[in-house]
Amino acid sequence: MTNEYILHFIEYELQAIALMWMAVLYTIKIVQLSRLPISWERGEKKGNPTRGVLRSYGTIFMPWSMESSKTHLWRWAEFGLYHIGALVAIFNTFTFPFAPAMMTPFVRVLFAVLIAPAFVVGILKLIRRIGKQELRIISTPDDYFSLVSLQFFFFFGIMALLVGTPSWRMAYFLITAGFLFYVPFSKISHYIYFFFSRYLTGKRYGWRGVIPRLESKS
Amino acid sequence: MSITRTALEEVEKRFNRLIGTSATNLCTHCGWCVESCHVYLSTLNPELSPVAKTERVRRVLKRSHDWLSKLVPFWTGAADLTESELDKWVELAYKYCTLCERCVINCPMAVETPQIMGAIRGTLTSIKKSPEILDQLTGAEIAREDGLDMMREIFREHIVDLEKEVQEKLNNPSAKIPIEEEAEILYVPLSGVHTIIPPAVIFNYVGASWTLSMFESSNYAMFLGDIPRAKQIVNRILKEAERLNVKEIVLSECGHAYAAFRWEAPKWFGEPLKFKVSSILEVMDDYLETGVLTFDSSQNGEAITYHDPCNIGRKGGIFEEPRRIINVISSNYREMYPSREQNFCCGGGGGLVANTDWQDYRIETGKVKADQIRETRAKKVLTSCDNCLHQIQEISEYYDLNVEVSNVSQWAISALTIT
Amino acid sequence: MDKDMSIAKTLNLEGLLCPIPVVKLSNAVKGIGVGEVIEATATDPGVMMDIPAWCKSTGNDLISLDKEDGIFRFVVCRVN
Repeated sequence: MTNEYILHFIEYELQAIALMWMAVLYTIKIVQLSRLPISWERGEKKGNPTRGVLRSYGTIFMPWSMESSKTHLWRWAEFGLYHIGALVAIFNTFTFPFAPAMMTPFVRVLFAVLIAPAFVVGILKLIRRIGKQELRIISTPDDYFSLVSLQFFFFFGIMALLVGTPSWRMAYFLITAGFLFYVPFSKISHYIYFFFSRYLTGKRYGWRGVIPRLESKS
Repeated sequence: MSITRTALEEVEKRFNRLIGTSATNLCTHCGWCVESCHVYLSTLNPELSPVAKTERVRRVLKRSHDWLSKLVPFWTGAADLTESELDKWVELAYKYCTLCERCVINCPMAVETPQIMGAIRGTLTSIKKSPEILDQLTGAEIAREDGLDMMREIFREHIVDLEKEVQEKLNNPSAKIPIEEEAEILYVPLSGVHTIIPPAVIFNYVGASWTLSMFESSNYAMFLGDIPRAKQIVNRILKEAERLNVKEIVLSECGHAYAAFRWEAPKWFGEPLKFKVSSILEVMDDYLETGVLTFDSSQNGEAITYHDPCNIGRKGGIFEEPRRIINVISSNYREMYPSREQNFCCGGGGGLVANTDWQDYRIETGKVKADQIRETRAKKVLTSCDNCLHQIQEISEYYDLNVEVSNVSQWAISALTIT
Repeated sequence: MDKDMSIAKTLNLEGLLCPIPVVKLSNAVKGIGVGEVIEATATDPGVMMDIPAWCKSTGNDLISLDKEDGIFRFVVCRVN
């Protein structure tokens, strides 16, 4: 078995299996969640639930809308950099095998530059999680494992982009596959719940005229 | 059946989509919520941050709802429920969380900590572990209906004296406090006279068609997460409203009563209520807008601020109504910072004011509110909730704030234009 | 009130608004023995409704509830 064959298997077949695995588990999760009962708002509507939902999804892009981001702008910027890096690193797992022509040296460097801050932020997050008591006491092995795994994911991603040898690409795609298998079980799956949570909360606050706030009588 | 097993079954009964979303992997343990909580800010105890408090509950919920937690609980921090943990839950849900929702507003994921704590309150009530005083107050509210004929007699006697006060305030001997008469508005007070006289003055002033309810608007069963009894408390007022053929139910300045009646009751009953439900604040604001309520603002230069009760503001959507009323009367209104949906809980919410066992702790966690009030340099604090009123009076004394505290309507009637 | 019934505890609830008089009464009742009696005074007329309702729901005996010069005086006997 040649290295080329193994790399091909890891970049295509293994990723496809892992993606299907993740899709099946997410589907089960979503179905389970959707089957839980819910009591919608039934009091006379005061605000606008649709605007509430939109605003709820947009909250994270508006650092001034939450005290927790407004008073910690650097933390919010870190959050942004981390998630941009993660998105690029995920996107990259598709562009490598499916759009090789797109991966020019400039694009490779650009992607690496976008992932690198996430790697740095990841180190800061790890230091804070260990160093700050209020974070340490709520941290579980899953928190540390997820954080450290992502660091490897970012690192291998950067190396695969900048060095590009088969062994770096193999390492990158192996950890990607490992991630896809693990993510549905871990807290990294928060982004699935996020869509439910923000929708439900946004609809409630919108309905009641809390967010967006009603400045004058409608 | 063991108490822990019963408790878990009760938790399951309350496990809905909102709680299910927040119960497992939505929270990333990022810690952004930590400084949003007045309990944490007052105590600086990391175990009392919203995430730390919820995690104590979530780890049990994860054990039965999260795949990985079922297989390898230590990996996610999941744990089985024990009897000692149930005792800890009593403090978590009733003492350390006032259900104020400030953490929800400041969580990037919108983790619904108060919904989880509310479900735990209900669970604890069903296994008789909730604070006894809340149970007694709920029982007393319900007993008022059981002995209605006797209560009616006492109530009528009681109202005669209050009616005289209303007549004196309005300089109008024909002012009335009608009880159980057909009218357009059914006003539901609290027991305290300060929630009866000011609205009575206002309704008489504008010539409204109104009547006073035999019952009180407060609903301690909601604090207990005891939905059957909470419905019973609301239902007797609905029956009264139907009997008196009213169009609108107006509630006294009481935070949890408003949240219960206006927003939660329609969910409990599974359908919209047949009546419009308003707070007296909204009604006063309408009267101001239509010009039937007028105030003399010439004597009101005193520095004044307003505390948004969580149930009225962040959970109720009433922000501008009290401010419009206050700004018509006062020329020296000072906004608290932060306010409106970002306002801090006074520290007495969620029924905590009624629990004297935790009084010292309650005053301690009122420190954030005390600091907020001090910064405004106001001499008077207005609010729209009896629990907040009581708590702010106590923290004013303890933290030497030297402020007067009043409900909005109580304060506003002193500025009515009376010819 | 029975003349033989001695007051085990007195409670001043004047100036307090409901439900605090009920809360304080509930606590005070815990501090007396079954069959003993507590006498309290309050100024919030809400007690006229709340105290009888509380006694009814907790099973304690409301022996008397009177009003004199704007002060409400009530006597409660602990039953359980």
